[in-house]
Amino acid sequence: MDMLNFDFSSLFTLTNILIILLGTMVGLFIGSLPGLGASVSIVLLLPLTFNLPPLAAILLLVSAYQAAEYGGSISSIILGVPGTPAAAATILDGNALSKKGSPGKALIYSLTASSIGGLFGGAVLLFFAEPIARFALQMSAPEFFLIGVLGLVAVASISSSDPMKSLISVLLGLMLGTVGIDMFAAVSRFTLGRPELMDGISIVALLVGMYAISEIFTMISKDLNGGYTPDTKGLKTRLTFNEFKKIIKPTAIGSTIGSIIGVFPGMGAGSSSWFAYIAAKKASKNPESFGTGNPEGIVAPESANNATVGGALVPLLSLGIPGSPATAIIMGAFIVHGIRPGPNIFSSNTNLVYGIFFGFILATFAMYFLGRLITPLFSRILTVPIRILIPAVFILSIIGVYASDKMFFYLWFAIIIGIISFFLKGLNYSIPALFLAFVLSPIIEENLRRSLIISQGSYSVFFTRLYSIILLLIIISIIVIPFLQRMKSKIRKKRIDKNF
Amino acid sequence: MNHISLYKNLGGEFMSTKKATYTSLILITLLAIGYLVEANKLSAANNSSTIGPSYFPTLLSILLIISCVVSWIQTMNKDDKKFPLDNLKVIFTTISVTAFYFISWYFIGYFYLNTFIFLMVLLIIYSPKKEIKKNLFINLITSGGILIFIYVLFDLILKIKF
Repeated sequence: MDMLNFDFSSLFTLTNILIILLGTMVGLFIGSLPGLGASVSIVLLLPLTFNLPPLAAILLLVSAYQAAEYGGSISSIILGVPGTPAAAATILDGNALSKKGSPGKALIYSLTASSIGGLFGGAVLLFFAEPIARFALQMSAPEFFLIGVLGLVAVASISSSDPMKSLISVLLGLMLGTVGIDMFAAVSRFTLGRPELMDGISIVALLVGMYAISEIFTMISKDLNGGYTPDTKGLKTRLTFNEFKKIIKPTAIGSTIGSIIGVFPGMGAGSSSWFAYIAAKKASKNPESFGTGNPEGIVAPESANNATVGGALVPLLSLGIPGSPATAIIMGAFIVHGIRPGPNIFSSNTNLVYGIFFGFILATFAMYFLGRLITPLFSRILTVPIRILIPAVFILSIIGVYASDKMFFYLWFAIIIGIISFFLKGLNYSIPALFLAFVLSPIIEENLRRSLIISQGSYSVFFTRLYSIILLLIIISIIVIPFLQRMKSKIRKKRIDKNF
Repeated sequence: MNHISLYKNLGGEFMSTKKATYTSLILITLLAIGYLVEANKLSAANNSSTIGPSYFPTLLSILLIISCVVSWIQTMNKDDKKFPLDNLKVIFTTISVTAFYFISWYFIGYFYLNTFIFLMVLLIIYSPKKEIKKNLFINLITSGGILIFIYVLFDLILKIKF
């Protein structure tokens, strides 16, 4: 077997180990800054890879990608502002637990789950790269469309208490995703004549506006003279065995969902974390405590988004299809080194492929140990008064938008989106559903149109394929089950009222 | 100016959640109509078949208008609450200061000087009135510290020029 014949001495070189540590440090740090996620970390490190050997170059980017997914949860938990889109689901319970006075605990839950998720993703990469990629190839446009819809339905069903406002949020997000050049007809749509919008709306500007700036306004509107944690009592960063035992199940759910979702091109960590959150909530003995600081609500999305990293590398390496913007940038690094990922890479660059697989697992360990060192430092940010924290977060968010797009247009855009999101949040519209819809919009539209073109306009294409039918049944159950549960509880309430 | 008078200046009494929801639904419906008009222009310009660049946007705008109507009806049957807004004056001041900062950065340049002033102004705005003088030194140190951090991380390490 190639895996067993791998020359480990080529991996455990000083250069590779230093590179993994550097990538992890940068990923943790950049990932934790609001607006600067995994893609920005990788882009910023890309110039460093040009003079490195191929294995070290790819490991630098992969370790930054892995660490940024955990790093994103740090600001989600501490500030209620996601560092990465994938960490948006972590806010619900992570920030709630943090506000209860246990930020350190929330962070260690996140780090432990991220590391387990990362190892799980690494194992999937190692053992299932080829078979999983072949399975994903059997899916086509109708299934990808339905997977996208499934993600939206799932998020909309949990992120607001008003289903109609969630639906409006989803539709607004899908509309924002249509801005830019149409992928089929190559015509510009809804760009208002602005060249900045030709490539679509900047995801970083939108993310910063929706989460960072609106959160800043929320912080101002609440209490400027307070702080989340007045002392350092809640900054303990140890996890007891009993606490660990309780998170095994949701972590396993998150890891499994994350690695499977990661394999599907375009789905990414953003949707996998939400899927995992919903699945963990449904499987939990205390679903009603989700959103109030339940550790299960932290570990499920966090294990999922890190497991997605391993999953996302599967189609990249075995098929040459990048599954996310981050893997697309990593693919660029392969090409710079004269290597084209795809089925042939397993025979032409065996040592490189298995070096990446094992190096990925090594990077996960590096993330855990460096995370243990850095996490308490980040936790202490909470002790800073809010009136000082707000300008710091605000300016870093502004700079994040500028560093990503280098356009003043997007600074204004982020502020306007921040103001709109602040009001929408106050009126119970769903910002997570809006953002996920924006991310999934191109995938949903592309696959809807492709399906309808293939079927010559007939919607039967969504009901006649086995995988489509399974996905449709899942979508229907997500919509119908909560409705039936609500009806059931209403009937029960009426009966109780009658008896009294 | 206290918050009540500010609210009144902005259009009357404290806004109820119902009124705010109706306003948002009207604005979203107008947006959907504008989007639909633009989508129709696309299909006219491209002489496209049913599944052209306007197909998905048309579907979205129609669904959005219907959803807004349904949400309006649902809102009518709900109890009213006070729209949760406090410190509105500070939020407006923050937005105005940020707008001045962007304009100054864009037209005059001097990113670090502009950013230092921007941070100082925000820190003063957020300080309790009685403690502005007392906190001046802390604010100077904080602004300077953030600026050094930005310089080292973005300029020196990441080579991002402003």
